[in-house]
Formats: sequence, structure tokens, C-alpha cells
Amino acid sequence: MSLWLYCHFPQLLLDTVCRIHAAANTVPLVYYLPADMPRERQGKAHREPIVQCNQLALDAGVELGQPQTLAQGLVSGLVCHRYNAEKEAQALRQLADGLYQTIDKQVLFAPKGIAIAVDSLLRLYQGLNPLLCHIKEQLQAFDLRFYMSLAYSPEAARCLAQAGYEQLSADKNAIHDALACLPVNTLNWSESRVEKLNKSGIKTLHDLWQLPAAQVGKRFGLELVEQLLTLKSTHTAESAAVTFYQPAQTFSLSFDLVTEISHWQGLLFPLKRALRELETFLYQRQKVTRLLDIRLHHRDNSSTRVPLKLAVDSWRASQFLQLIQLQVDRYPLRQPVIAISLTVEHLYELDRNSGQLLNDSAQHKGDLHELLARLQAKLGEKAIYSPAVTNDFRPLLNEQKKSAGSVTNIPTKNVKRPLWLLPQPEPIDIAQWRLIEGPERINSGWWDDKPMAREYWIASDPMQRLGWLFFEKEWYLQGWFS
Amino acid sequence: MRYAELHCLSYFSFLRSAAAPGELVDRAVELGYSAIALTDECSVAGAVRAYQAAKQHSIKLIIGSEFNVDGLGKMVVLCPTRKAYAQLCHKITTFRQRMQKGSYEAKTEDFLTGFEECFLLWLPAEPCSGSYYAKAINLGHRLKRHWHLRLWLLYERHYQSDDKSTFNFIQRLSQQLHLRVVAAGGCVLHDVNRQPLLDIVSAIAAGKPLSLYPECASANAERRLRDLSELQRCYPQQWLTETVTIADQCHFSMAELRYEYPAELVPAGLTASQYLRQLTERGATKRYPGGVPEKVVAQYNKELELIREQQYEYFFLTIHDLVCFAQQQGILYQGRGSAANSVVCYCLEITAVNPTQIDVLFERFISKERDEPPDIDVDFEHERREEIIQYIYRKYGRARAALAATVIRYRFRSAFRDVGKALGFSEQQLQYYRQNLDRRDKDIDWKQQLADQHPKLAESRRGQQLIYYTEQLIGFPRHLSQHVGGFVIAAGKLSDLVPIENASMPERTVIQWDKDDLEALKLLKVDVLALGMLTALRKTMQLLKAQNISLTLADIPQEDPTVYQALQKADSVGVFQIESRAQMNMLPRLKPSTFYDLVIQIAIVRPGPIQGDMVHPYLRRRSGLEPIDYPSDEVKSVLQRTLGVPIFQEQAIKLAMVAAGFSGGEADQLRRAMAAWRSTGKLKQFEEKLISGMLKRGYNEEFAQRLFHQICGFGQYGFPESHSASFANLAYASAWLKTHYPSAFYTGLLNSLPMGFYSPSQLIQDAKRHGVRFLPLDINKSDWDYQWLSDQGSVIRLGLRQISGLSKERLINALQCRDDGFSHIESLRQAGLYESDIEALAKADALQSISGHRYQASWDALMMSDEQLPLFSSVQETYDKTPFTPDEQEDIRFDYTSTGLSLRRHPLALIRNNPVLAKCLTAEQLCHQRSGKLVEVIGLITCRQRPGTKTGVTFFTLEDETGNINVVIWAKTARKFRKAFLSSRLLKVKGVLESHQGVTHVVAGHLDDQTELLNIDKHHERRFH
Repeated sequence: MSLWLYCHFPQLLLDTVCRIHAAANTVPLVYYLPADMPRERQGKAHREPIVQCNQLALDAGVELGQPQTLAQGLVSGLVCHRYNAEKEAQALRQLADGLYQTIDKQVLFAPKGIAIAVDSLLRLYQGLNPLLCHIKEQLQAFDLRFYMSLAYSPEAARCLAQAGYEQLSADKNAIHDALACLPVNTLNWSESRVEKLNKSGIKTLHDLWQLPAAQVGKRFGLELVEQLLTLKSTHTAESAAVTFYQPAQTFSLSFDLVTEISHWQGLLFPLKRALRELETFLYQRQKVTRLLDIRLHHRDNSSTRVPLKLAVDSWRASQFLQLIQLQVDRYPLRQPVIAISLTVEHLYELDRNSGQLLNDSAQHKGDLHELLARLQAKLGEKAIYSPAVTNDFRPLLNEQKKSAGSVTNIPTKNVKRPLWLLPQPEPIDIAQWRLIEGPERINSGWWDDKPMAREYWIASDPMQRLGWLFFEKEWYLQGWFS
Repeated sequence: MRYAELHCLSYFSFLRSAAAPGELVDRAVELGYSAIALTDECSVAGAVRAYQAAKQHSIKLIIGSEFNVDGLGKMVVLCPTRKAYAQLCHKITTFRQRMQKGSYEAKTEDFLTGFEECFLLWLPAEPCSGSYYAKAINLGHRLKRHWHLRLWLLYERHYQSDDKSTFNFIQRLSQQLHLRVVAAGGCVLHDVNRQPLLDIVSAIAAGKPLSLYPECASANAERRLRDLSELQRCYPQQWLTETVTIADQCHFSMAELRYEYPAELVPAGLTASQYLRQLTERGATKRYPGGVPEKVVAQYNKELELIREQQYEYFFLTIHDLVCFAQQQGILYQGRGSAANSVVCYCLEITAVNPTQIDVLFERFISKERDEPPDIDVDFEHERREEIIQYIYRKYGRARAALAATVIRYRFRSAFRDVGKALGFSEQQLQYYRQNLDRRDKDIDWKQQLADQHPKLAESRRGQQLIYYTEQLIGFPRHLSQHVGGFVIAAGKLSDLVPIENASMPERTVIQWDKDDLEALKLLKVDVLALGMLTALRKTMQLLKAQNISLTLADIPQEDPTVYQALQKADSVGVFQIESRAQMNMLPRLKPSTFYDLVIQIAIVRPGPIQGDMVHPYLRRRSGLEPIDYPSDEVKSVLQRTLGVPIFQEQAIKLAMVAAGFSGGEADQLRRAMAAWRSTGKLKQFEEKLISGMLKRGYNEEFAQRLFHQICGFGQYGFPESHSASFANLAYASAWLKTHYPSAFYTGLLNSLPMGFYSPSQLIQDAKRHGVRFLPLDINKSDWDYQWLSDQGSVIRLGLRQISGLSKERLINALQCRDDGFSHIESLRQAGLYESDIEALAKADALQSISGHRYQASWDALMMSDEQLPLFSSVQETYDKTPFTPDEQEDIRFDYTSTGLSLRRHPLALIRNNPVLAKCLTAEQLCHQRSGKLVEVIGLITCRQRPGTKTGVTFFTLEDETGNINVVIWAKTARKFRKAFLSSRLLKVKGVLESHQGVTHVVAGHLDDQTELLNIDKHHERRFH
């Protein structure tokens, strides 16, 4: 017989954002399920329903399940974010990491719940109540909304907590009674099953339990019969193997900003909070790092990468922040930022021998990407390029520097271009030249800030070299053909 | 220098060009070209528009088409003669029909035969590649064998880096093959300023943003119509001269296209004219059994003469043939449209509107002056229109009959999205910018709204480009679609006249021209449309026939006062055209008492007359509160029937003629401008002429301004009198049947849904108020359709069609095995029903007679069949009793979720004793309150309506257990109680009762969302029309 505590976090994503970004509490904020996401268990619900919302939004009349468009109609200035289960699962892992120092037997039910095997902890905490108090305190420190319930299987505890039931008694009868009251639509079952149960007048777990198992099985299948048994049982089945959570060895955190931020100063505050979480993470593991990867996400799905490279190993948020402040000029914000992610992949032992950047050959040799990353970290990302060719008609724009390692388009148009383009066109004396072919009219690029209207000629100079010329008030040489 | 541009694509080569056909022609005229060829890719869809533009000038228009053939290159085919044009149309038809909608396939072999009279300009595929040369020589020889002297090599220079090598290639090829070379522009622009839009449409076609894929853009703007001096610099003189040589040999004009009518309709020995007269006279004796009145004879003689002069006999005969078929098949139909209300159409039984009842001037619709084909639309029962279409295909064959096209054009939404993507915005960004735009807001246009909501976007370069090019792209054609029912039928092969391509619907083909093109070429099309009310009426009359009450639309007694009494009380739920809430509000005020009043009633509740402020003057004059005066006798002659207020579209036109001195032609232009003024703003140009014309004729300024205002109001929303009369006919027929045979009428109506304004639940409640009793669903008694149990009086049994999630086909098959009734669930399975069907029946409580209540039925239905039960095979085979039984509220909830209606108590009746409702009046009680009183009401919202004509007001309809309550909500109240306004399903309203001339509504002051009191999931409601 083993007792399980299940903690359900109904608004984990939202609460996490509010913790990191205090401004989130000052505006009505909601998360909605975007129409292009798979909608498990959403079924006939409204299009793009609201799935999480803060108090300000609630006060203004927003309700869970409301369509996003209606909520926007109701509340002016409502901030709507797309719900993302992966982001929420990330927040859950982070939470588990935080608890791990004192609670080791955790099973994660991503994206919203953690089950804790209570039995082994009872002795340590000298009883159930002190343990529950401890866990509550821990969770409260994270500033989260949560429901906790006890039962004799993770599944049963989960059902109770998810239904919003605070069942904290270890008494079998109390647990049984609480479970019996649960409506069938709160039990994580498929929509078609719930619909079938409702059609037959079955509304609660109690209703189901009072029916003979064979009759239930004939109608709803063996699987349901087994699930009912699990929920009713006071023994964890031997076969129900659980995988306990192992803390992550890399740090990764991403969160949405409440409002678009278009200057660095505004980003520093949420970044500070994020770095503090990193600090806690590193401290708990007694690790250090040198490379941080910050990504600033923009509305058009693009992002700005800000790699941070420290000269020495560190785990302190203040040091990281200092470095960011030093580097902000290198990364001007071209577009407002809507979300931030922070990743640290390389963790080292606190007491490792801090070496120099490039002489650690045994550890870092060979890999080009590693080298590029390190050069970029040292010199700034924009200092390192690969050459690339594009299909732009405009010379100079068709031969571009692309950021190192990025994918190159293969040009498809068959146009004559000199092999060697001069960095700057040089004025020439046309009398020395003989026009051979042309003109090629290039009148393109109205969509960006480099429109061009020119006529190009192929001509030969007195040494019979073929040049590429254009006229713009005077004649210029743009490049040489081979 | 003379020059003819022989290779131009318009925007009908979808997403390849940024020029309209007319723009190309007009620009060619400006530049002094002597001819221009429109050669859209595998299409002549733009030809008629180009022809209309060219008609205004002296420029010669050549029709042709461009084809892209793998390995061969671009083939530009030109039509020097009518025969050549027919050959081109055949070829396009063949190429198009090989592929699905919107694409075509042409192969090298296709150009080696079948183009006996066409000219071909050949632009080889890879003129820069040396290895292609030998292949080109070979292809050239093959082409020459078919085309002989009708073949030219094409050279087009667009100032690109390979110009020289292409030139050399063409010259070599020409020398070796002994072919002449001709120059052309390959134009896709008429003006250099359209280059960005061309780049955008190219990017849209490629599905890639320009900034990342600059190769989608054009290198320069040389694919435009260039001026003559530029062309002289560009090409050798000989090649320019050749353009004119070719153009001079082209003599075909679109004006030569003559429509030939299907001849088989006329019996041997008779002319079409004689036959039409014979049919008319025969029909007249049938229509007037007591002897044809003199007046009618005189009228049809006049009409027949007019038809003969204009040679429209076959048009009338074709439609007559279709309606004869419909008659034989018992399909109900009714003709409408300008020519439909003629005596000839009445005698040919195309329409049932007795033209002596209304005064529609036939000449106005078929006249020499208007010089365009008459317009007759025939509505058929919506469930059986397909039979008519199949008859047409059967009778004339697919080679002779096809649907007209509809050009689908860019509108704001699509243009904004496509331009945005081309400029590199993501779908989410565009959605974000677009989501709060109110396209119904007439005061602030979308550009201003966008600038207000997203100032940063509107300031940025890309944002400005998005706005500017979205506006430019709006109106560009996107693709051809099929017209709702306009058929073109030809005497011979239709593809001699116009290419035919595949539509997206299987087995449907469309021609490449739309209704405007057909009209411009004076080709006749027959509109075969679908109308739900005809289905309902036919079903009603069929039910009556089973009771030995034989009725047709024509025998329904006319001017029955009991019908008008009901309508005057706004008792019009289910009645055609006058059942909407706006119409219901008008009925007690207009108090129709004759057929013509109905004609007016239908036309007056339209945005046109409402915006033109014609409603109130008419009502005041009708009730004698305002004198009826006319500024002149001419005006009186036009407006007398409508008490001096113009209500019909044609009155506005006629007024322009008599009061402002417009000629027939000008009045016709005015009519077209009225139809399109919202999109083109063309109406403004008539303002000055109208007003000065009226002032000159002694009308005062105020009258002139008012008339212009009224004409603007008509816009596209005006109703012609003839349409209104046809609709009034159906409105009267449905009202008559509803008054005298409500059970049959409601059965017919419920069996024809979806159509009309109301949900089955609302119709049934209305029927109950008319004394009809409904019986619940029962698998052992119900049919798929609703049944009128006439032996029990006014009793209707619900039809199983009402249950959602039930397969019609399986159910109907299963019902054939019903015999003595189904006695257990297994027998339903044996009858072929699926589990899902049985569960749906159980949920809808239709298995009462087998299992008892719905929980038991579901419990039984869920029991797996033997083969599904390997694990439980030992379980005994009897059905067990479930311990659960539904209470009333649960029953009602399942009724609604499964069928959208309930015959049990109304949900409001269940909660009537709740203290929240203590002060609420029911709909019935409301009728007895005095106007101006403060009242409280509560009801389910069944309709939220925000008319486009009146800003700032929303109409809600609330339903309770006694009837409907109309609520008026002003914008201020809506804003104040935003949440209740937007999201409530059960709404409590405090407000002031207003009651006037039998129209009662509550003007809301306070809204209160009481949805919590309900426990009903599905409840039909109409939102914001």
C-alpha cells in the first residue's frame, strides 16, 4: 500500500510568466489554445478557447473556455498568448528541479502535474502533516496556484487534484468517498467515452462503481474496467512501474513577455529574474558555466540570438547580468521582443580547472561548429560570416555574407555576372573602353531600402580584359569577368 | 512607324500579369500602336473586356493565346479568321479538359495538327543553350510542315544579360529554317508603375516572400507596352514591320460571334416565331378558360412582335422546354427577371404571376434601345434542380451546354493576406493586424482603422507597402468559378464560340466567360437557380393531394382577405421573403391588403429604400398623414403606383428619363452604375447631369437632390418590380397555405430545411401556436421526414431527419425492414444500422418503444454485439436494466443536443419560479402592457441582428415559453453591458416597452446574463447578419 500526493498546477504557464515578469500582474493576460494546435479533449468546445487567465482578466469578465475572440471583444487591452504545452512542460521540469532538493520521489505528469511518492518521506518529515506543510511551503515559494490530493495510486490522486479536490486525508474511506463524487468528465477520459457515459445517465465515478464490472465491460471495454479497479484499489499494482524524475543536466527556460518590449532596458528586469533561476539551478547542482545562450523572439517567428561568453566560469546571476549589460550595444533590437528563452548546455563542476579559451585542445578540438561558436562568443556573432550567393538581380546584393553556418540558396537564374566584383565601383574613362554587350537593365528592389535602376554593359579595356560597367552620372567599373 | 503588339498577357493569365485587358488596350492606343493582340495563357477569358475597350477606339484587337509547352517553348497562337478562332477555342478546351480545374496541358504533338487557319509565333524553349539548337531545328521542321507560311519565330528583348545570345540564336534559326522573325514585347504591364504589383503577384504565384526570394521579382519593367522610339532602338526594323504584316492579315473580330440557337426546339415546317405564337395562344386559352381578354391578346401580340424583331424566340422556347420538363417531372418552378413578367411568359407557364395584376412594362426589358438579351431566371426546387441540369446535359450534350463562369476576384481579406505574405509578413502577424478591423464600419475605412490600431505598422515602409498594394490588388481576378446556374446552350459545338474548362465540381464544365461577357456579346444564358421555398410548397401540395385537395400555384385563390389579416398581424413565420424580423416589423405598419401591397412590402424592406429614406414617406402617405403630390405629370406617371415615392429600381431609372431628360442609353448606363457603384463610385459622374437636367426642366433643387440621394440608396440593393412581383407570388402562396393548411405547410417546410430564417425549433413553436400538435420521435412510427397525420387532424410526427449524426441512407434502408416494428436493438443492427446510428437514435429518445427511456436505450445500444465480445462471451445475452433514469431537465438537455428542439416544456418554463425571474413578463403578457412602461423580460437569445443600414443598433430576439420578444439595444447599452451582450445565451433585459401600430419591442436599458440558470448545451441562434 503506497500513498501518493498529486500536485496539479492549473495555470502553470501563466503563473510562471507572472513570477518571472512582474508586469504580467498589471495587465489582463490570457493563454488560449490556438486553432492550429491539436485539440485533445477540446472537441466541441469553442474555437480558440481561453485555457488560462490571470485575476485581472477574470475580473474583467473573461472566463475559461471562452473563445479568444470573444474575450478580446470583452476586455480592451487584453493580452492574448498562444498556449504551448511544451513551454509549460519546461516550466514543470524546472519546478521539479526546485523540489528535488528535498523531495526525490517525483513522477512528472506533463504538462501540469507532479505525483510524489509519500511513503519514503514520512519518516524523514516525521509524519504526513509536516510533510504536506513542507511541500506547500515549497510550492508557495514558487508563487503558483495548485491543488493537492492524496490517494493510493498516482492516477487516483491525479483525478482528485485535477478536479480541484483538496483531499488530504490518508483515510481509505475518505479517499473513496471523494473519488466517488468525481464527475466522469473530470477524469481525463476521451471525449467519446464521456459522451457515451453521459448518454447512459452515468455522471459520476460512483455511478460507474455501482454497476457490475461485466456490464460496464460489455459496453465500454476492458480498459475502463481496469481503470475503475485502479482508482478503487488501495494497492498500487505491482505492474504499474513508475519512472521517477531525474533532474535535468542542462538548463533551459523560456517565457513570454506580457507586452512587446523594444528596448534593452526593459528586457533586463525579466532577464534578471531568469538569471536568478539559473543561479539557483547551478547552485543546487554545484555547477558552473561559461556559455549562455539567450534568444529574443520576435512576432514574425524570427529571433535574435545573444550568445554570452564569460572569461571565467561562474554561477552567479549578477555576473551574467553584468556581461549582458556590457554587450547590449552589440545587439541592437530591430524588432520588439515578445518572448525570451535562456539555455545553458555546458555545465562544469564547480571546482574544475578553468582553462584558457582556445588551448583546451583535448576537449574542444575538431568540431567546426564548436569553433565557430567559440569565435562568435569571443568576437561577437556578427563578426563571422560565410560567403553565399542569392538570386537577387542587384549586384552586390546577390553575393552576400551570410551568418556562418547558415543554409545557402542555390541560385537558379542564368545571368552573366563577373567573377570578381569590386568592393566599390571605380570611376573609369569610357574612352578607353569598347562596349561589347548590353545593356542589361536592372530595375528592382523596390521592397527594401536598396532599390536600384541601372544599365550594365560588358566592355573590354585596352588590355582586352572584360569589365562590367554602368553609367550613373559618369561611367563606373563594377567588376571583372574572368 | 507602325507597330502591332502581338504578345500581351492580362491579369486573366492569373498571377502572371498586373494589367487589365482594358488597360492594355487603352495604353496601346495612347502609344499609337496599330493593333494589339491579347494572348492570355490558354485562355480567352479577358477577350470580351479587351474587345469592349477596343470598340471605343480605332485600334485593331487580335485574339490569341499563349501556351507553354515542355521542350518546345512558348507558343503564341493568333486568330486571323473566325474559323481560326474556333480552332483555338477547341484546342484550349482540349488542353484544359486534360487537367483539373485551373490548369492545362499542351504537348508538342498538339501543335502539329488542328490549327489549320491560325498563326503561330514560336519562342523556342532554350534560346541561349547551344545544345538545344539541333533540337530546335528539328522541331522547326516539324512545325513548318503543319503551319507552312503561318509560322514565325518570335524574338522578345527585355534588356537582360542574355539578349545577345538569344538574338544570335533566333537569327541563325531563322536562316536555317527559312522562317521570318517577328518582334513582340511579351507584355504583362501596361505601365511601368505596376511593376511592384507584378512582383507581388509573381511572389504570390510562387508562394514565397520577395525579400528572401528576390528571383520571384522582375529584373526590370521592360515587359510593359513600350513607346515606338524605344521599340525602334530595341529591334531591327524588319522584325518590327513584320508585326504589322501579321496584324494586317488578321480580320477576325469578336463582333462576328453569332449565337445560334438550338434548332431542335422547333417542329419541322414552322418558323421559331410561328411556333412561339402557337404555344402562346395555346397557353392563353389554358390560362383564361373563360375566353382570353382583348387586352391580353393585344399585349401578347405586341410582345411577340418585339420578340420577333429582336430574334429572341429561341430564348423563350428554350426556357419553355425546361419548364415543360419540370412540369412533367412534377418539379415546382417559377420564372423571374425582367422579361419573366410578360404575358408571353405567363401563357408559356414560365411564371405564375398574372401580369394583369401588376403593371410591368415589357418593352423596358426587351427593347431595341437597350440592345441586350432579355433576362429570365427560373427558380426550381432546391432539392431537385440537379434533375434540370442533368436534363440540359442530356438533351443538348456536354459539347453544347456549359455553365457560365464567375470571376472570383481579390477582396480585402484575400488581398491583405496574399500581399502580406509576399512582403514577408507571417500568417500570425497578418492575423494579428487584421483581427480587430471592423469591415462593416462604414465610417472609418480599413486603412484608417489599421493606422489607428497599429500606428507603427502604418509608419513603417513595409506596412505602407502592405496597405498600398493590398488596395491595388483588390479587384484582380484570382480564378474562374462556376456561376450559380447560368447555362449557355449552343446550336453547334459550344467550343466553337468559347473554350470550356473543368469546374471543381465533378462532371461540371464552365465556359471562360462570365455573365458580363455574355451580355456584352449578346449571348443568351438561361439561369437555372435553386429555391428552397419551392421545395417546401411542392411538398405541401403533395401532402394536400394525398387528401384529395388538388392545388397548383396557379389555382391558389387570389386576394384572400384571411391571408392578409394574418399578415397584418405579422403572423409570417415560415412565409417566403416576409418572415424576417425587419419584414415582420413592417407588416403591421404597411398592413398589406392586396397582392400589389405585398410586392411593395418585399421591395421596401431592403437596404436601398431604407438608406434612401423612402420607407417613412411611403407609410405616412399610405395612412393619409401626408399629402401625395407630384411635381409634374411625368413624375406622376412613374410614381403614382407607389404614392409618389420611388420604391423599385426601375422607377429610379424612369425618373431619370422623364425628369432629367436622360436618353434610354444614358438611363441604361445609370442602371449599370447603380448596380456597381459601391465598387466603382461611377454613380457620382451622373450626379451633375441628373441635377442640372432636373433643374432645367423646372424641378426644384431639393427634389433633385432627394432623387439623387434615393438613386444612390438603391445601389446594388434595390429591387426591380418584376423580381418583387415573382417573390410576392411565392410569399402569397406560402401565406395562403399556412393560413388554410398549417399542418401540411409546416410539414412541407420542415422537410425542406435548411432554408429560410428560422430553426426547426422556432418553426415548431410557431406551429404549436397555430394549433398544430407534434408527436415525438419513435423508431417504430417516425419516418425520415416529418409526417402529417391527417387522420388525427392537425398532428405532425417529428421526422428522424432531425437527429444529428444519423445516416440518411442507412436509416431509410432500415425503415424498409420495419414491417411490424423493431422489437429490440439487435433488430436495428440486423436492418443495417451502425452502432453510431443506434446510439444517435437512443440519445434522441427515439427508441422509447424498444427500450423505454433514453438512458436505458443508450445502455442497450452500447451493449456490444457478439463478435465484439471475445472477453465477455460467457455473459448472458439478456439486456440489463440500468439503474439511472433521466429527469425532465436532463431529457430537455439531450433533446436539444441531439435534435436542436424539444417537445417537452420550454426551458424557460422550468425556471419560471426562480426568484430571478420574479418580475419578468412573458412574451404573451407583454402584448397587454401599455407603451412606455418599464418592463423586465427574460428569454433565450435566438437571433442577434445588426443591420448594415442602421449603425449603432442591434436587434435581439428572445424566446420564452409563450413566444418571441423583440429587444432593441443601442450601442451605448451594448458597450455598458458588453459581456452579457456578447456572450449571454439566456438574457434578462430591463427596459422600456414601445408599442406602436401593433409592433412591440423592448428598448433595453439594462442587460443581465443569466445563462447560468440553464443547463442546455445546444441551442440554435443566429448571430449578426
